[in-house]
Amino acid sequence: MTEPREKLELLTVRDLDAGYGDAQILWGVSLGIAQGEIVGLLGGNGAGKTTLLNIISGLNSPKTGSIHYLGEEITHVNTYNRVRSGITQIPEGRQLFPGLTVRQNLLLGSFSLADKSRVPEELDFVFDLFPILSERQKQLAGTLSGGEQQMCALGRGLMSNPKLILVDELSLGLAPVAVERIVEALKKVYREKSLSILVVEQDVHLCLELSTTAYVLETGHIVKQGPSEELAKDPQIRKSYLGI
Amino acid sequence: MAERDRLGRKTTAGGAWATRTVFGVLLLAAFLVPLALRGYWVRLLANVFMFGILAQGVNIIAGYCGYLALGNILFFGLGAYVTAVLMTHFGVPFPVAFAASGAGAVIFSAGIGLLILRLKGQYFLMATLALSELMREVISSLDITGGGRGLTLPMFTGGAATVNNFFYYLMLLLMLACTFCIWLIDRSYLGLAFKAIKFDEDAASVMGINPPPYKTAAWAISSLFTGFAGSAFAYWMGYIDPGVVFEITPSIKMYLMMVLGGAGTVWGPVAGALFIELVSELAWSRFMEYQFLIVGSILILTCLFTPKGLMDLVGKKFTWSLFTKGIRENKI
Repeated sequence: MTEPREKLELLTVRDLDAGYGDAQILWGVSLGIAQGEIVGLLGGNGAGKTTLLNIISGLNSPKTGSIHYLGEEITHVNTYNRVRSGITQIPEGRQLFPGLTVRQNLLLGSFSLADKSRVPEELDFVFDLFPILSERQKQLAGTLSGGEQQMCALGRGLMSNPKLILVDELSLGLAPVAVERIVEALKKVYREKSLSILVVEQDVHLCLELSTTAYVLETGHIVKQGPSEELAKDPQIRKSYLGI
Repeated sequence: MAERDRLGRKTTAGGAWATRTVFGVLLLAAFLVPLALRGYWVRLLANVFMFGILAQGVNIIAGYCGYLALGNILFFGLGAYVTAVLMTHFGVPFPVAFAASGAGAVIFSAGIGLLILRLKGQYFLMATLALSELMREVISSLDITGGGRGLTLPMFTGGAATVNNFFYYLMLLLMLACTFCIWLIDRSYLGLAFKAIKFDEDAASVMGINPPPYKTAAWAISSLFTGFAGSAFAYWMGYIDPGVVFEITPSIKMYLMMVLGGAGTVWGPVAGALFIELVSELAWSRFMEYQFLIVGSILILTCLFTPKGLMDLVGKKFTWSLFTKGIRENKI
């Protein structure tokens, strides 16, 4: 892998404090994603991973701190404008529109594309990536299996031709075979499109394998960060997360 | 082509051509009705088509966008009064007054929508009801609207048959135009945005959709349909007062038609209007004393059998299990 630190910063998160009501979830969280980098975010239940992701995508707003994207501050920019500028979230638990067909779900993903003539091209890319979605185009998304739903969610996220995708709990509730299939697809997308990925995972093996740099979030604090290979050798991480 | 479910079973039996043929015949029949039937039926069907327009109006905001606009009669009354005032006080010809009614309804709904479309679920529902009551009170107390005494519009010139036929075709064409409009929306990105907003506004914004303008657009389209219907109604009746055009019963009725026919479908509200109006008319003419008992029972049973509306039955095989399925899934 190349050295990500010399690359251009795509997204910079500085000193985020956030929470819901009186409950503070994030304490001074800082994080950086370089262009073309896969960054992993590790942490157990309730560590604040999804909150951090929702703040980056704009669904939640922070109490203090700032977010810069492509050199501009986007801390108070609305979710839909962030999507238009290329930040796409693949939400936890897939969150497809269950009453709409697979095709309609994918088309909704392309909503923010300014140039709609590119839609067929993007659709072809997704169908090439997941041929099963092509077969099930007219089926309601709610009737898909868990793995297919995750494929559809990932495909939908790619339809907007993003620069940065935020993947929340890719492996949640899926069979290992399905996870493997989707991880392969994600790697392929990363190779073929010039994008950056923030992977939020409870599955530490998977997270460290995918990413080049990783952060460890514990009860709202970043407790460790560094190249994923080094973190995988870190005795403390091996003990508390990998159970070795 | 017949669609198949996960197990490869056909979900639409018989092929689409059968549905299309039936549809074509019905459409042709609709245009020929005034040539074949008596005035009573022509007036009855014109009324059905008017409810079809109103139900389509509710469909776009509630069926597609998920905003329960129970007080949509507001725009019906507004449209009726704009036409009545323009025609009686300013001598404006009907086509101009008709257009002004639509425009008035759109301007009003867009303005007020920016405020109350922030409310969700039952709160929005109550706000629309309150607005329609408020509008009734305002119009009842104004001089230009004739207050509680109402307004008498210039008569439509021509014999009884000409009047009947004119309003029959006006309502029919208007209903078809509204349905065509909904068909276009259903196939467009606009329709997808509405459906996404209905499911979850946060999920929609993650798709890059900014909900408020879309919700306002949905309500504006809804009010346009409803305002047009109100305008045509005023000219048809020749006399309107606040009690008639702001009555709550039609407001509930058009909502019921939309739900019963199929919320968020292109033809559902029209089917619902036809079904409910014809059933109530038959019940009224045959079983005077028991009409509400009969209409009520039929509506409840229909809702049980096809919770997703009448359009859900199109193309399906009528078997016993189809009818019990609705009941089983409702856990009754």
